[in-house]
Amino acid sequence: MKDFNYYLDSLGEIGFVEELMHSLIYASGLPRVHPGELVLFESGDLGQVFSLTPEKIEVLLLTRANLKVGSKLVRTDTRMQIPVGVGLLGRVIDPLGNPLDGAKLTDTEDVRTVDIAPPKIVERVEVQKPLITGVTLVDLVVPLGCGQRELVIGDRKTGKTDFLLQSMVTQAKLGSICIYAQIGQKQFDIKKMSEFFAETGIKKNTVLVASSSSDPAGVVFQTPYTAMTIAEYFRDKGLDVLLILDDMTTHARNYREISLLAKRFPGRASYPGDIFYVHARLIERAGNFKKGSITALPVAESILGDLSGYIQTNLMAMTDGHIFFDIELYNQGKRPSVNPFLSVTRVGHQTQTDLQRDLSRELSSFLVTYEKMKQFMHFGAEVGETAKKILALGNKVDSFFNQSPTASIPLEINMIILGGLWAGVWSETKEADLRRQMERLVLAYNTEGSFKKQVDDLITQSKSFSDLVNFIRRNNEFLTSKITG
Amino acid sequence: MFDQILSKIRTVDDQEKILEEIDVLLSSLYQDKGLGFESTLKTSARAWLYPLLREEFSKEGANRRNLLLNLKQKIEGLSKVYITLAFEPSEDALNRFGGVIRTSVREDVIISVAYDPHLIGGVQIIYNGEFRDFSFKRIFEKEFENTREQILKSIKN
Repeated sequence: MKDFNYYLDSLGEIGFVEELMHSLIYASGLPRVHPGELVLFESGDLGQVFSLTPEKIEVLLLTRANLKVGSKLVRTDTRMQIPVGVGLLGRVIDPLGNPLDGAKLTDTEDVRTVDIAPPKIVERVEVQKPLITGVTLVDLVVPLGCGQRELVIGDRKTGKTDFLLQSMVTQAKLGSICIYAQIGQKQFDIKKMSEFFAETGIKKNTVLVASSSSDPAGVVFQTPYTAMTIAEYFRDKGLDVLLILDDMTTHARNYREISLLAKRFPGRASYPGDIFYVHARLIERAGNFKKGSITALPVAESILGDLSGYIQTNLMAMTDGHIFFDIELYNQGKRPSVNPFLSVTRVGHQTQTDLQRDLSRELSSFLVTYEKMKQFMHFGAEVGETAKKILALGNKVDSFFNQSPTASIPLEINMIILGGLWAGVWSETKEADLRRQMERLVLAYNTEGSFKKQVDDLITQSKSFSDLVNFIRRNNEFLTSKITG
Repeated sequence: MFDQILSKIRTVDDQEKILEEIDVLLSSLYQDKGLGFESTLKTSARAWLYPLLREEFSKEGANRRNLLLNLKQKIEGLSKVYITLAFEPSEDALNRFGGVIRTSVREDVIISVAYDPHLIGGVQIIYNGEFRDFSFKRIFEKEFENTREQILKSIKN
């Protein structure tokens, strides 16, 4: 960005601030300015043209400006752009592309416009590759695919961020580029996130785009668009990108604030009429493309588990499914507190192999039966042997799904463990020992090459879940030797 | 009447003063059962404005309020040309500038003059958001940019 006098000389247009309204400026002049264009004030502050009327220009401030009526501004004849390149990896930047972690940005080979139209249908490809999150419940029941847009929704403090970070760690270790957009969050949380990336060793594969709650509204508004632009750069390099937008309800509230200040007519819940478009044009930029993929996980906060909120339903409409974090399950001690009955994946199952699909179907069906049995138990009725077995297995499945937020479990060993549960390997095991034994299997899979090969081969050879279960039933010593050993 | 009044307004200062006077007249329209307006017209309106308004108000069917509001609207709608000079102009210079601008641009423009000695000479003009810099400062800066190396060399020598 050049200086004020440069643009004044080269473009020959000037404007004057007529009115100031918090983060919105009304100015006169600049006859050839267009919406979305960046304007530069004499003080060096930056703004973006929000809208135009015949008499005035409405400018959204992008810096903490100390302006007065009569201050001068000039056009820059550019839209918002940010530097992109491999130099962004491992860095924390603000939505304007300025580094927040001290050092200057290097290795930024390109500059990209932040707000662009989503790619057309010709450039898109079917979602085919699975996206492994490392979270057992999600990978088996609500599987995701590379290029999917999956909404992560739930009340505050239900473990959404833990799930997202687990997914990031798993994907970063598999070589994907992970971009985390923190939208209008506390500065301390931004710092914690940056430290987390460093501690887990995934910093070199991640970019953190952060805006704090004290930043100007225009900056907070731009955060997810900047993150998406960076994701598109890496996608165009042929890489798979995981993009997390945390959270879109804060973004919507921020845009509502700007719109109400700009005296736009308030719609439902005082949100402006174009709130759907603001989010849709962002989410639609993610997907699976010929060059690479962008898997978007936008986050939405619900109030008391209400999925029918305005922003929540908007986001559900523009995504390929949602993972619902249930406050009731969280209060029961389930981690992650994903409600498998209210979570949906529209394109995840097409990425699964036949075995995985069969397993997923069997598991979902069992969970429904188990849930009905539990409700039946509330009446205090006598239960038969079948019901007792279902309840016992259900308890073990609950233990199986309970997972530490720091653990990332490969899908293959999850499938074997589930097969073992179905085959009755742990039918006599106490629940207290069950988790420990499962963890031993995971450890063996991660550390012993021979066991890993054995498991992978078994998965490859099994055509259906019943094949897998039957094999384990007949040859369970390859599991039991790891559990007891 | 309107054309005569508008032709007398040359600068933004003139415009602001006339508008103030019109506001005072509007607020006195209904004072003392309408009698307050006459005395306010005599005491508040400037010498050249008084006879023009007097003549207009004495016409049959003249609505004072509407006339004043229309006049106010027309005066507020005058286009402004902002010029920045390196010196404070005299009355005569101001008249000449106004004449040239009205001939070249439009009849109903008024000028706002600012003073910036850093321009050294020449003028900066702003009209309808368009900015043109014809000052000596710009010429010298551009010249210095082109011949900076030569000048620095000759200074060192």
